[in-house]
Amino acid sequence: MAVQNRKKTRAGRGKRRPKRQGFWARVRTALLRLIWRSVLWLGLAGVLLLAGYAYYIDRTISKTFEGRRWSVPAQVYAQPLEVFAGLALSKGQFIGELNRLGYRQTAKLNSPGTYRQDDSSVTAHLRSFRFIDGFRPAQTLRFTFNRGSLSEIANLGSEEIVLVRMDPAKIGSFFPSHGEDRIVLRPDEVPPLLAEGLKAIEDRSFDDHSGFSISGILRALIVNFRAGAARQGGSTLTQQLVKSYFLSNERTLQRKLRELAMAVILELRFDKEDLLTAYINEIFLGQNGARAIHGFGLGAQFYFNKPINELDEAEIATLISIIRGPSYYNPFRHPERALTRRNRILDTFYSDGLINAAKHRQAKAKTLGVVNTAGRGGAYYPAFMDLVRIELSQRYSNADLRSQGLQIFTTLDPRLQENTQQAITQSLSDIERDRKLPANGLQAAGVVADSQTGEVLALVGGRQGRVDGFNRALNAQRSVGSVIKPVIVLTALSQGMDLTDKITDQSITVQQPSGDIWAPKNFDGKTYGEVPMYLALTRSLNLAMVDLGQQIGIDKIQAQFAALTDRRPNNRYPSFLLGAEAMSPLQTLELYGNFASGGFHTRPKAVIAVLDENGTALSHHAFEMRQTIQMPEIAALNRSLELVMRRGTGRSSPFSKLGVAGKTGTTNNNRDSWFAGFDNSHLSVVWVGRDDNKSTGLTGSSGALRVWNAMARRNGVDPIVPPLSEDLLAIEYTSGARANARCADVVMLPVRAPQSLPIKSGCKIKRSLGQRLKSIFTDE
Amino acid sequence: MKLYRSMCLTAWLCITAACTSAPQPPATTEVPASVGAPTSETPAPKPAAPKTQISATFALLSQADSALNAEQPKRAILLLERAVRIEPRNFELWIRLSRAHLATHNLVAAKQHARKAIALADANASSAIEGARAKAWLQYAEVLEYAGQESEAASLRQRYRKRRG
Repeated sequence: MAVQNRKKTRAGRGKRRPKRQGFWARVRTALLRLIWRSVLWLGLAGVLLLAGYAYYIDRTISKTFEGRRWSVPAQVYAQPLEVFAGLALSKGQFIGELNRLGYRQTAKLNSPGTYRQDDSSVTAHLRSFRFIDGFRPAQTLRFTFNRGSLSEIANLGSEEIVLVRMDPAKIGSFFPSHGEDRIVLRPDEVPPLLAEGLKAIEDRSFDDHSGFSISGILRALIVNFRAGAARQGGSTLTQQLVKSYFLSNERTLQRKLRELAMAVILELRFDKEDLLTAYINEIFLGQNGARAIHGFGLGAQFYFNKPINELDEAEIATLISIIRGPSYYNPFRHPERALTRRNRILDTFYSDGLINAAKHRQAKAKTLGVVNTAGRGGAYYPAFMDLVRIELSQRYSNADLRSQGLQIFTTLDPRLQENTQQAITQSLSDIERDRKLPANGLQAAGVVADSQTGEVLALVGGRQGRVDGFNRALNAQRSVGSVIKPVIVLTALSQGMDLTDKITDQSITVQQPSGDIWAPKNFDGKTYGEVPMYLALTRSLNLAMVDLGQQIGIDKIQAQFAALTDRRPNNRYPSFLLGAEAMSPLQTLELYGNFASGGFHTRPKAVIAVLDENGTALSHHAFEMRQTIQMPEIAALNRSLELVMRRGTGRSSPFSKLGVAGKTGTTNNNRDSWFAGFDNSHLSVVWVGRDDNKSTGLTGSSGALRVWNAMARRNGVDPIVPPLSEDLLAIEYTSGARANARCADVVMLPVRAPQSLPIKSGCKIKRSLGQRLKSIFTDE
Repeated sequence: MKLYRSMCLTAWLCITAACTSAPQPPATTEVPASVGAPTSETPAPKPAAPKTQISATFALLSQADSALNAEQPKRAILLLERAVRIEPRNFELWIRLSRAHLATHNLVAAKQHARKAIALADANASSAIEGARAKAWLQYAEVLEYAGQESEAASLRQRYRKRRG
């Protein structure tokens, strides 16, 4: 029965015909169907769009975030100080060096970067450092001083240490054109208190949320509503990171939504430790001129002049306090404001159990302790950095320098650099005051190099240091004047002439190829007739030098110049003989390097080595030199340059008789004042002039030499080792005749053919034992 | 080991004392007080770098020798350059640098560094260090021989071998 009924029912259904619908019902159905389909399609399109947008954001994050995490500017280091027993380094100077490196004085030496001192010694806990030739672990050493020098180095086991290399000072970095500079920290380098402190202050639910925090946003809303102003942000650390990495500061809903989406994707793609480390390396902490200070690694250097791992609780709190407003909470400009916020942060540290009561009390009692040195956190010496950049550009691209985290070790001696800069700044002011010149009208440049290796130890590009601007040491092309004259003398010596050979100082006119007549004059307008060659150099006699140049031939002199400098002169005319040749101070240094080194050409060098971010050597810029002058000629030339200082145009220097050699230079209308000089260790070149090329009224002696004197006062003088007396002959200074100290005013000079020299009448010349012995084996 | 080190140090002291100290005036170890003399408004000059760095450079030289023995000439060059920065006029260091460059087959540098050693030895000319000067020339002969200039090398050897002592 039941089966029949079911069949009926089925049959009944089969037979049922749809009722005819009314018009409105049909319209309604069609509309519903349309809406349903539209919603379906729109939903689908929305999902597709969202997926596409998510994919786009994901790609952006992958490309930018991951790529940028490794965009690390090259770090540039000065030459480290080599310390050993016997070094002329006083206790005060050593402490100065430690302070420069950001070491701090403490009673306990329980962490690297600290020192303590007593009456005669300093005990320092040195930081570890990876040099190109090896790793130096952190160690505690005692440095004992005695009468202005270092007398002993020992470790804590009282074992004597022969040689210690201090860690090198960081002098800058090649940050990208957007100006962001940073020192990137690895997760294991982040102090735990910084990581936990950041979470406590900026994002309490960081470990739990997925990129954004509803409770954080609500809390911020309540706080801001109660305060009637924006007091608290609801952004998580991840959102702040997104904002800093990818987005602008505009306050729109669209940007906020994008920020949220990106934060969520970042959280999906990277783990929490990665994100926190990226935040610590990315966050903006201040501005230093064109340079933006990013990340806590550089922040520690910039505000406290020490590495992040040496920061104490108060210093970490200070850095965290800056995040909220690097300008508003700038501890240099608004110390009270920064101190108040720091203390609030320390209170949070304590209430959250991150520090104990004792640490909390000690930290709050501390001052801010920021170190306001001009070059904090690096970038001390822009002029020297220009030279480094030029040298590296031959091997590395700009992109490599700005993003590959290279470590560049340079030749810079920070103490010498600072002394040179101070000497230039101070001397120019003194000169302007003494000569009643308009203030700040003079400019100057100076370069100091190691005389034997050609390594540039200091480079100053203008009277104001640490200012990016026209670098006169590298780029000012100015006539060198009499500074060129040693090249003429050297060429004459190479042609077999002696320093005592006579040349003629008389009026001369030369017709130039253009038809112009060139009629040079001596500085004092007088003529001196026949004079020994050395005297023409020491007195810088223009007419005698032109005569000598004409005798030898300008081609030979220019060939000599080219051999000494690796470049052909621009001026092919006789005026070249008086220094109508534009050169930069660095090029002049290259020329004089041949003399100071005892006859070797070395290209001035600023870079020692480059390491990659893992400490692997990429390039080592070894000493390079080429012998350009033979021994007898260079010995004679350098002797005559010593005479320039003792008796000639350099004699006004208080150091002139202490064993230094050099040459002054002055150009037409006193536009340029030059001095190039050297002692046993250092070669220096100084230029003084005006940027508008107007007259300064200064000669080489009254301008550049005065600056050099100030440099010598600060850097000291290492006297040139005199040649053996048996190689020298006593010569009457004014006449060039053989004489002795009893009968004449003599100077000691090497002479190849003494027998050809006249003997001053009334002088009994007694040959030395060495000369007599030598004469047995020679024709003399 | 300590005995060996002190023997080496003594030998090194003898060589360098002959080549760097003997012909130098006392001023190289301590700048005379008069150096600072000049004016009242500026501080007295700092004394020049002393030349008593023998132990320091010897320590680096020993490490460089070890590096050379371990066939690490590039490391030896780095160490020797450090030593030269401390004591740039010690021609013995330039001789070693020449050797190290020869080990890297850098003939140009080896030759120029040998010439530098000769120039520094000549500048310090004294009969007391005649043997050391000969050493610089013999290093130059070594480089010449490596460069295939065997007859010049032989002639230099003949001339300077006896003088080395």
